[in-house]
Amino acid sequence: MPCWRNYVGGPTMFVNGVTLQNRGLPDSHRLSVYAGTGGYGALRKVLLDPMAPDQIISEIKKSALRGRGGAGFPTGLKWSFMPKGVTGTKYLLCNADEGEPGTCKDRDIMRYEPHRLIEGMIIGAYAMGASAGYIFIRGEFVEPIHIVEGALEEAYAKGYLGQNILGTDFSFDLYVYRGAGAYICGEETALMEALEGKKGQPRFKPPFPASYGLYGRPTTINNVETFASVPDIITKGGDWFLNLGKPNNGGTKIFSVTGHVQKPGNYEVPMGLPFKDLLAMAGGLRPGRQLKAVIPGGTSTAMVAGAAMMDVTMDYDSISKAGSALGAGSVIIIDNSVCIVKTVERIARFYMHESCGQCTPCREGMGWLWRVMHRLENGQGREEDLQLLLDVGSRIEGRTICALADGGVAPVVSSIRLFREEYEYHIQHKRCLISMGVA
Amino acid sequence: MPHIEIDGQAIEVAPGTTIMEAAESLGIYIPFFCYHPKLSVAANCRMCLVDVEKAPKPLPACATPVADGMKVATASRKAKMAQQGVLEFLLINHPLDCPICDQGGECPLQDITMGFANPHSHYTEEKRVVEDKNIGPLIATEMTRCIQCTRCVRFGQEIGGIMELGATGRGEHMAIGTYVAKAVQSELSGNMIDLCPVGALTSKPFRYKARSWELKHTPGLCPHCSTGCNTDVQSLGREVLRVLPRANQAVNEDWICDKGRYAYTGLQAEDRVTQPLLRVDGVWCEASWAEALDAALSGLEQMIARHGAGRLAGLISAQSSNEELLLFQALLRGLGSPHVDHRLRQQDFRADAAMPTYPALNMALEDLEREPVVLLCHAFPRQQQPLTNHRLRKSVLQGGKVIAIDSLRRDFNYPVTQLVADAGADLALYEALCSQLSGHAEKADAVPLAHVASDLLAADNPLILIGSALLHHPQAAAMIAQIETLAELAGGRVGWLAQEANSAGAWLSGCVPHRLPGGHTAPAPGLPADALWDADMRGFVLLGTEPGVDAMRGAAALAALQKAEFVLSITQFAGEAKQYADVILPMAAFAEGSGSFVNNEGRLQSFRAAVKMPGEARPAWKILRVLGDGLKLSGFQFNELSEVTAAWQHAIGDYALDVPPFHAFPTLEPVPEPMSADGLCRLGDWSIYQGDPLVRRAAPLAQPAVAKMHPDQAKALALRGDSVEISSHCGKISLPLVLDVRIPMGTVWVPAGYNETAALGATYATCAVTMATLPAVAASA
Repeated sequence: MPCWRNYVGGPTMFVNGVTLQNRGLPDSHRLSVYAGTGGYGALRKVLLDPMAPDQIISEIKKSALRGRGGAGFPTGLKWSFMPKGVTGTKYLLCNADEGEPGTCKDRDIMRYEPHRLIEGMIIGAYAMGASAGYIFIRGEFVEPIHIVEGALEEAYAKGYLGQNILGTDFSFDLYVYRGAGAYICGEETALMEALEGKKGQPRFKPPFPASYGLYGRPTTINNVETFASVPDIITKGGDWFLNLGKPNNGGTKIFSVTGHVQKPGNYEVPMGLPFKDLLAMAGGLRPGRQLKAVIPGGTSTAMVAGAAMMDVTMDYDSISKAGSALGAGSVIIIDNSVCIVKTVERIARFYMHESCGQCTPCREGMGWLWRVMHRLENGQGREEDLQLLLDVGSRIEGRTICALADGGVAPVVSSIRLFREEYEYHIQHKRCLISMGVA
Repeated sequence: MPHIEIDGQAIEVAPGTTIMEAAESLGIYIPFFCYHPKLSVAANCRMCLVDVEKAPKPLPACATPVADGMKVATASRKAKMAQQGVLEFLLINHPLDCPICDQGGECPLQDITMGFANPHSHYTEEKRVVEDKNIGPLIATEMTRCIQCTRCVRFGQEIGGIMELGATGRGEHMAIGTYVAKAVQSELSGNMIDLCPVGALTSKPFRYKARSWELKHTPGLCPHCSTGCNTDVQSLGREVLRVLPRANQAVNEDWICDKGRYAYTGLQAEDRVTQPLLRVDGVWCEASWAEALDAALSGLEQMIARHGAGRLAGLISAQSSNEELLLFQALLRGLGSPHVDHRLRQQDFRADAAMPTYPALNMALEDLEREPVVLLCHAFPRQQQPLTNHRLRKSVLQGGKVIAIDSLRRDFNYPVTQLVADAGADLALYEALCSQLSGHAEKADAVPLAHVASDLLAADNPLILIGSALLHHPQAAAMIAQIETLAELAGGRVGWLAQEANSAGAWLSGCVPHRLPGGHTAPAPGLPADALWDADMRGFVLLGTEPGVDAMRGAAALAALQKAEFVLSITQFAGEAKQYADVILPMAAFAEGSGSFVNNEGRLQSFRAAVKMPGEARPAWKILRVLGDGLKLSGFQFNELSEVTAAWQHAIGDYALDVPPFHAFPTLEPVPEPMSADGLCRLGDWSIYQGDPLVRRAAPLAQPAVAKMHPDQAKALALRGDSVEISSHCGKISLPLVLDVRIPMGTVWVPAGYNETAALGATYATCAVTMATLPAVAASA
């Protein structure tokens, strides 16, 4: 069952493009093309013109690069958590399990710029002293898996990976691991469990991966887009990257714009771009439609009313102020032809299906939410259902090991808050306000 | 040391302590389902969420380590809301079938619901139904009741040592099951029932037998191995309905094995004797106690008058209590017979003089967990002493090393370096290891042996444990002598893994032909058990034993017993005794009598009767007392068990917990090599559930006898089909054949303890294996 269609052929906008800057070049996934545009220059710089690991981390901190996987945690700070001076293996992982409904940016980086990711990981491994790394790629990404594997071969052949990289005493091995298609494996500790060959279920934290990660070893994990941002930060400097965006929200960000726009696709734009500009880039709404709501960061983030969204800029802090989250940057545009109840019912079903089943509130609660939503959508809603949904949501939120449950509650609760009258119409009239053409 | 406050009570705890542990030490109860002190922390049920000051969300007490200055509220509004919420979620899909659920009355979900739930559920949707699984004869499942706490899964992985149950499926489809609907195989599997906080896993034999609150609880002792697990015997009226572990961290921790848990089902066996029986002109008649005792006394007196007491022998089970053992040997020795023994499975007694006062572990069971290097000599504790094995497993998980020498590769549930003897050449393997240790062997001679030797030499005082299976070997005496040398060379110390619940007590009480109570040397030693069968004995007294299957040479034992003039069998079960006895006296079985055992550590533990004996059965000590009295022997004037116990303590004295593992070895007369050049060496233990009369009758535990052979060996013998004939110089049997790479070439595995295999005679004897001939009917058809 496809969730949100990925717009394969969608255009990518180059506005100070960083992670997808070579997207328009033929064979951009080849090492020769990447090297021709200065690729692996950053790696040479850190290894041969040597930059101390601490210097690299402070450059990343300066850039205000924040985790592109969804949580937006400052990358430099995360790298600095990796313990120093420990004996034994430290791991560096790349989360390429891109599963958030609405996002397809990591897939494009892997398809068009795999070496940028690989170079970013090698630099990260050097900065943190990791000797082995895995790129955990979502199992359905067959084409990107082949491309990344090919790129790894090229990088090994050139001596960018393996023993004594570029003749230095730094060694790093990097492998591709193909996931098996569970959304939960995008959660970093579930990903580690899956990588260890176990059932993908999040671990309780503490201990955090920096001290107890893959196979119980110190581990750092970042998103594809985060790593792909690293080479340019090294070559052009943290300040350059920071200045692309706005304070505390450095660099560019790829937004996967989907839903009711005329030109859906991946747009890499500076952080802090006004939402209305992003909407215009994506071709705007279809003629005669109005913006009803936006899910700014993927289905696990709260809905924002269309009107409110027009004042928001596309960065972590601004979207957070609007009551939602930038998440993975999957911007879902909903126009006035859409029934919110039906949309949320579909989202609720996704979270019921993808709950790992470990924590009681999520295992039992996600199914409960969907069952009530399903009744509402099918004209069997009751007066007390809205309060029930809010109550059940409040009993799930913040009471589980990972954030999946919170993500499943957010669309339900936010949509009731924003579109209560639509829900009430469903309950009172046993039918839909929108599809009946009432609105 | 962090100072914290829970519900206003201050406490200082060690760093790394969890909120749950800190609360427990303050006596503050926090509800939980998935947490268990012996299992890893899963933090998945979310029942123990508590309110921690400054934490935005409620935190699970089981998984949250304390931090200095932490203030925890377990019953604040925030904590209560979280707990109520979790309980409501747990109950929405839990069937409220408590009235027909065996867990009812002892169910944490019931109890916590009563204590913490909001009485009104908001759930009006349909409930989930989960397909049930058949996981074997011991555990009943009702998986719709499962709350996915994964305690059973973690038990399998962490305690049982085999991943049996696992969670499959995601979200609300997450279900616990075995991977390919296999039966659960761990010898500790029943503990999952106790761990299950709901009625998803319950005891199959106990199913629908009683409500938990109707049961009477009596502290008991498990009579099935030398660990001496403490049990809680639960009964209703005259029937034992359940045996559960009684926690004793020094002995069995919180567990018991399946043998101890389910053997009670054998109490209901068809051949249970509840009335004295006399053979009158070849026909069995029920008799009164007066008639039966008369017959027993006059039978013994006449036999002795005719042939002398030297032709009378007594054999007793080492499951008997100290009190019974003391009186039994007193009866035989009082009558003038020196032939008293309990070691029916042994065939080489040349080292008797060197044996310790009693087979002692020479250390506390708990300390086994911390042994860095252990050498097991023909010991397979996973089957023989499951909870002693669990201690060894823990030592291995913490980095300890276990090395095993045996006649075959064993299925340990932890990594073990295994040295396997060539067919029948077990002694040679010990000799080879000794020469490695002394540096006389060629280094390249045998690589695994050299590794083991260097491991032993590198270890500081390694522990060497002699297993009960070693005593089955026809060259056991020489092997024991080699182990003494080996221990000296390796600078190690030696402990014995005793077989039976009261093997130690049997030795201490003088139920061996060459030692009196207290381990004093008998002035005129009698014959050991195995020698009796060929010694033209005319009278036997048996107590709690069935030599036909319990003895090393079952068929020879049966023949000798049948040939004897008078056999008195004091027993719980008449099945075998009817083949040879003249008088059968019914005795109390498990849970029906009281007494004391000495376990492998030398720990003296007592137990008392949980239920009344059926019919006319009597405690064995009373039967022995009456017999002794009737035979006008001195030292039988007891009225109460406590008086016999006092007499035992007086006779044995204060025995040491740490005894020298060997006395001086006599010169060992050579015995013929067990193997002839042609033929296979027959290996075989008493299978885990065939070791004593009660467990043999426990239907849920029954496993059919099968022969096992290496696939290459079967190929070499051109064996095809499922069934083979195995013949030795004693007899011929036919069994199904299973191929198993753990059985060495040149051997065939035939388990002992079965009627079907008794005819084959002793283990380690030469035998031949051929394809089973088709039954005559099939051939003619």
